[in-house]
Amino acid sequence: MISMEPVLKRGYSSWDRAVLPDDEFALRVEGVRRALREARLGALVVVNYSLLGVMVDYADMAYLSGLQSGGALVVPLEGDPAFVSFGGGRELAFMRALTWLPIVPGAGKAFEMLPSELKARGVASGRIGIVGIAGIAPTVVTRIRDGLAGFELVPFDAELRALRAVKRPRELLAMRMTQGIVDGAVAAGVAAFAASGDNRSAMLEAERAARALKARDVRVLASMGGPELRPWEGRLDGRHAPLRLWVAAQYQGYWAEAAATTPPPREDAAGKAVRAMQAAVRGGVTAGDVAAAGVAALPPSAVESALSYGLGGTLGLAYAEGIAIVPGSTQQLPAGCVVALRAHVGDAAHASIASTSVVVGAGSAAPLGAARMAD
Amino acid sequence: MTANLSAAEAAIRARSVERRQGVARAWLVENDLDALIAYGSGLHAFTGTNPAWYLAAFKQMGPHAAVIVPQRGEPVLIMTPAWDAPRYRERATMEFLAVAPDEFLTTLAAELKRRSFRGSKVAVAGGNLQPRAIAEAWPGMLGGTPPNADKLIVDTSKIRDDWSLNCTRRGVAIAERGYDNLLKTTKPGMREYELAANLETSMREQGAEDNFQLMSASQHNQAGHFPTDRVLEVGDLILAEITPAVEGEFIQICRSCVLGTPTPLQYEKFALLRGALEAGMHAAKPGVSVTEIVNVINAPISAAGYEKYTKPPFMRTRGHSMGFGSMEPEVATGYEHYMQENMVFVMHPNQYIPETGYLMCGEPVIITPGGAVPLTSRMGELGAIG
Repeated sequence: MISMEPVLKRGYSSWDRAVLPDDEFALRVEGVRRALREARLGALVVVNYSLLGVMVDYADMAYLSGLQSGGALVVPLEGDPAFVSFGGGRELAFMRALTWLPIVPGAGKAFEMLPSELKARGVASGRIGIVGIAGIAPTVVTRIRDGLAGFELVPFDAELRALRAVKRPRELLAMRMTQGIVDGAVAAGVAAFAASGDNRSAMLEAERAARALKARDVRVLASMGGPELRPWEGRLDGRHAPLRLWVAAQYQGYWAEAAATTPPPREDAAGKAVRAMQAAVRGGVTAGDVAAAGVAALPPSAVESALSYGLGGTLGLAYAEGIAIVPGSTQQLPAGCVVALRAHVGDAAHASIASTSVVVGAGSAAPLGAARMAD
Repeated sequence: MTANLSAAEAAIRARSVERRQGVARAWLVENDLDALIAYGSGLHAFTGTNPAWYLAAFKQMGPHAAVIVPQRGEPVLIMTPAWDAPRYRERATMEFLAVAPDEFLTTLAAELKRRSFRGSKVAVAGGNLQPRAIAEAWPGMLGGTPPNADKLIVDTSKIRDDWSLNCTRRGVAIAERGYDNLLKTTKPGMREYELAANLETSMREQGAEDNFQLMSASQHNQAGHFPTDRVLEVGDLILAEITPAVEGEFIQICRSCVLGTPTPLQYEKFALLRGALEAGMHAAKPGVSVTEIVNVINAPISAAGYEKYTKPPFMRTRGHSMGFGSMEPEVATGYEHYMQENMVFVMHPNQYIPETGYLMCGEPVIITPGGAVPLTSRMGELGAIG
């Protein structure tokens, strides 16, 4: 769901090595190497062009390094990968505490340093995979291409995303922990509202709970008396029932979302739609078929609103991992991915919001569920 | 339903929006252009520019927004998503079209066509967070590479107008109260992320819609960072770079405090940085270069034997602007920039000192003929908790 993008993400940022130990990342790198060999590529370079720390999409970088920072990652077929940072100074000590990889200070010349880093790993020329340059400014792409002039660059984004789409066991645990955060946040918001609070209190308590439960990034939307959902604004006021509350959060890079309507609606239009979609989910089903199940369960007057907010999609290291649940989509949900299913209905007659996340299996889907956070 | 803007604030905002668009119109006349498209991505950060936010004085939620300012005629805002329309409607200062993100470019193109602008006579201010897909759409839509109006917006926004200052001053007050709350609520045994969560939500409660913060708690800090699960101990020096946003306008204070009683050495080194800050503020008069101000700030620190520590990696910069969602210009050597009246900066000689670790000491200031004047009610001191 579209939400207000906050400034640089600044919540809990420690690396939870109990959940994602070094060998987890090493295993992911081995998976990437197998794919590189199949594609006859000598190495992979992943670029995360985070402009002065504004994180646009850290997923590919975080999958292999654990870092959500801007820089370039070099993955040879043999030997140690390395992260070349964009900066070179004050932040490096902290960054080193967040990754299993050595960090090479780029000091403003990260792209120019890539050939020597590749050569040091036995890759002096030839075909290499490149990830992360499709969406960035042409001037930056030119710098990257110039820096890697001796290599033939082969886009590898789709291959890496396919690997990321199927969640590994430890990734599922991280996502369940994030689910615990957002469930706790929604519960805190609902409790604040129930205790004669207003919609503002519900939003505030939801965020407070999410941050206290170790969320790094938190997004909260709530109804404020109209049909629409709103982001936090400084002076929102009033108690407007029913409250529709939605929270998304990120822990260790992994996203989850939860939502609730309180008091619970007599006719739970959103909940019915979500349950219908959940029943339709299985490995190989198209996103369009899942959406159709949800739309069919909605009152006709609620369909437009629900579609405008979105019916969900795959999530993981990115909030939107690439497959959106939209009518007509022919994209297939692969077994092993996690999909958030959501419906928001704004009109007064059916006002409700619901969300659930499921792990897609071969013949059905199982609730993602929540895992307890270590103290 | 909401009371996010008082009537007085709404009037100030409307005047400033009119002024900003008036500047754009004058530029269009001067350059024989039909219209300006000011684009904004949905990324809100003081490190990246958002021309649509500046010309609409509206913080968008969706991934795309654009203000079309014609040389003659009424401006229009095209915003995403459609369901966010009520939020703009209650503070609208111009016509607007709220559409789904995937309808943004076609809506924009249709609006340009409807107004019969000459293709080659439409300028674009895209900002530095413009996605590639948008940047590559302009030539096709406008029949060639459009004139770039980013500099117009940057130069205009550097000099703060009434609305910018109104939001900034509210942000400063929130930052100061947030820090006061930190001093009152921080206790040994808390974890860094709990301190950060308290600070965050206390400022949210006071009206900030966003906040950027770097912090650290240690017996000897290397630098500020994002919060971890480290447990706070008596004697920790807590660093807090606090940066709330009001209506998209960010402002920053930098503070240091000790969980317990600061040592004489900590007081002494903090005073050194505070003196350097005051010298820099005194020097920051219109016409003075940022390089000169850096030299003024560094002089007493170098004289105390810390010249090595006036450079990265022991510090980053001596300050930066925060206008228009951009840190440019920085108060750093290598920037060809001269102070102008009514610019707003955060000036911060934050740096590592070997005897005490990293210290933060920074104020938001406005440039006046007499030098930089703090926007805070009181300048930062080395705080004591408990």
